[in-house]
Amino acid sequence: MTATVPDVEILLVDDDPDDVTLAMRALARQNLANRVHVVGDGAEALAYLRDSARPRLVLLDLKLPKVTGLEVLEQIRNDQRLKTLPVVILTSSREEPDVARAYALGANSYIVKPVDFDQFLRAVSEVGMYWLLINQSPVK
Amino acid sequence: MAVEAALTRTSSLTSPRARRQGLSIRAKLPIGVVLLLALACGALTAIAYLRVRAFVIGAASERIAQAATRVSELLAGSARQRVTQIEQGMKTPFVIGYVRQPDPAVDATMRELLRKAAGTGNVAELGLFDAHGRRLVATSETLPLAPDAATRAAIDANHAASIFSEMQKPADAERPFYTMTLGIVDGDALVGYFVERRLTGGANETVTVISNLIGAQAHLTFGNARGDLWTSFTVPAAPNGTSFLKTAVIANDGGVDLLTRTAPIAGTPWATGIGFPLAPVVAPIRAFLRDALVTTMIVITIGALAGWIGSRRLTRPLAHVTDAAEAIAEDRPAPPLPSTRRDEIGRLSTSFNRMAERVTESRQALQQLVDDLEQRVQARTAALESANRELEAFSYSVSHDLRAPLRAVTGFATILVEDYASHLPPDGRECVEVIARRAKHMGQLIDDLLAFSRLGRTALTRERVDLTAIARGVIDDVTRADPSRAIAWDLQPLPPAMGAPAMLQQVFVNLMQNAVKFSRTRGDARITIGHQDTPRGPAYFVRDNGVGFDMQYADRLFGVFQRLHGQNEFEGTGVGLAIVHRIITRHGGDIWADAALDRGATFFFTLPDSPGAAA
Repeated sequence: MTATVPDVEILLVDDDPDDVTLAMRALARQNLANRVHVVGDGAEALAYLRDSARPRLVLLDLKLPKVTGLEVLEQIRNDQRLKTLPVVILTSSREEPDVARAYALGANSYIVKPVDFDQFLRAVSEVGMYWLLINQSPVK
Repeated sequence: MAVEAALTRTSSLTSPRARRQGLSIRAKLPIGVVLLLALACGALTAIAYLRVRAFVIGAASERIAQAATRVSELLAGSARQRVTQIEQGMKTPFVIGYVRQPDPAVDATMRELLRKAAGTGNVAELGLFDAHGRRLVATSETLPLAPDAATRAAIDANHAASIFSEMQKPADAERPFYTMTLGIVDGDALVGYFVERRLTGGANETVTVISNLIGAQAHLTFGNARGDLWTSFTVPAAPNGTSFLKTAVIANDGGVDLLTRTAPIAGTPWATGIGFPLAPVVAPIRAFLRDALVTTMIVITIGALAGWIGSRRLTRPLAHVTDAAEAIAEDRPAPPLPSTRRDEIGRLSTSFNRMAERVTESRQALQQLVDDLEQRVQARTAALESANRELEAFSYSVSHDLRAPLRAVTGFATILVEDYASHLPPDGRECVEVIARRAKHMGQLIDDLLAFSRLGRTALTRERVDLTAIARGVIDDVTRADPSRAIAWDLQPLPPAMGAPAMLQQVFVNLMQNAVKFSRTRGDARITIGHQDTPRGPAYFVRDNGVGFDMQYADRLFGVFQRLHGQNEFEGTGVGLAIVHRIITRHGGDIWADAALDRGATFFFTLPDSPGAAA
């Protein structure tokens, strides 16, 4: 396994630009930042997934304008082409119903964004590294 | 709802149908009337029957006695007639001469004379006897027999006497017979006797006369007055020994009850008896009795009918009251009772109607109240649900929207320090670090507050919980989290409790983490987990020998964000004990603390539904 893989691609769905900045900083530490595509709402995320090449990981916030994260997840899982796509929920909500709904809809992981920046960095970079470098994704 | 259920239950409990039914007034009154009438009519009938019977029998008996007397007179006359007949035929000089001086030459003539006197039919045998009783001549060789001594003595005493003997019936004789003896007198001297022996019965004209006299139904008998032998005119032989010629008023003759009377026949030792069948005599009395019984039955029937109608009139209003009362009890509309009567029942109806009105009003008022309450409960429930939804939305927003800016604050503060450290003087760096630290603390506060708020909204499902195992697990976790701390744990066995396992775990986590935190200044930190028995069940406790607190602030212990120690002494948000308090309270238990400044603290709590609890 090499540190950089050319076709690495992460779709980061988050409407908070500050969170995006922080997440990108975390991913940069794993040299993953150059393969990230960022969208600000659920509709954009679905449009991107429909039209573009399939990413290897989706980092999905739940509270999104227009189409919520759970709806995005549901549509991904209902799409024959996308249903095996790894989706990691990355959200501020630690509410039990959100966690339960996300897993019920087929989320691969559920990460609560820590308030503490060090913890946040660690969480995001570990998620990125795990899903892109350690975990064997299904063949495209 | 609940009030309605209670009303229904009450009515079913007091349902009159459940009670045992006695004899109703409606039945009692006619039965009483019938019994009274039956008693009165029965007594009257019995008295009247006995009186009338005695009278009728007495009158009939008197008439029979009169008839018997008439018959006796008739027979006495007949006997006298025979005496006269014989005297005229026998007291002739020819006969007297023959008796004084019997002459065999005239024996045949004399016998012929006697045979003539005896008449036809062989019912009589006649004979002449001398003064010594020797037979001179007779119609037969053997009969009649010579007069006995008593007869002769009687005639000696009174030469004119005619002596009739009692009737006799030797076993070989077909009929009873009697003898009549007359003295044959010449001047003053008794020279001989005339004896006639005669079989009874046979005189048809006599029977006809007597039958005409006493009626065909009558049984006529005559015989010896002392009753040893008697016969009838129609029956040739005497009935078998019994005699109603004695004094019996009612005798039984061959299965027929007879009313009998007797009368002596003058100049003879005989008597006449007449028996009259009782049945025709008492037939009118029987008829009277039957009529009286029929009348009684009619009177009783009319009485029963009247009693029934009367009791109906009396009890119908009561039945109306009962029906209405049952209707009220069963929550059905009760029609008002007619209150036109002016007697006690009318007053009862009026009072009852007033009561029914009041009950209906009360019930309506109660129903109104129930409806109001229900509406209010529904409104409150809706409001509560709405508030809950709002609270949930609020929590969600807090959870999401308050934490995001905090994350940005800490994140960018850190980036500032990392990327621009060379541009920042030491004071500036310190400022940025404070910003990051405080924002992080605020994040913790938000997390704790959300956890506390979630507690109130999660449902409480109780199950049996092994508190000892929970406490042991918490000890392990705490030890792992900070292996550097040397703590002497003393975990005593805890009775199991009923509760929500996750919540009770949270109680032990919070209390034990507090104990660990506040005893960290002690070199010999000691934490005890155990229980004490109290009247309300076991009181579980967590005790430490840490810094403790002043009991005068104990009332602030369980409030949210209430802290008894500075942030610089012991970190914390002031939510942990509030969470513990809320969990125990939701379980219905109590929580309290016992502490002293610098001398440790003990937190007690009870769980009333624990299996060991007295309740």
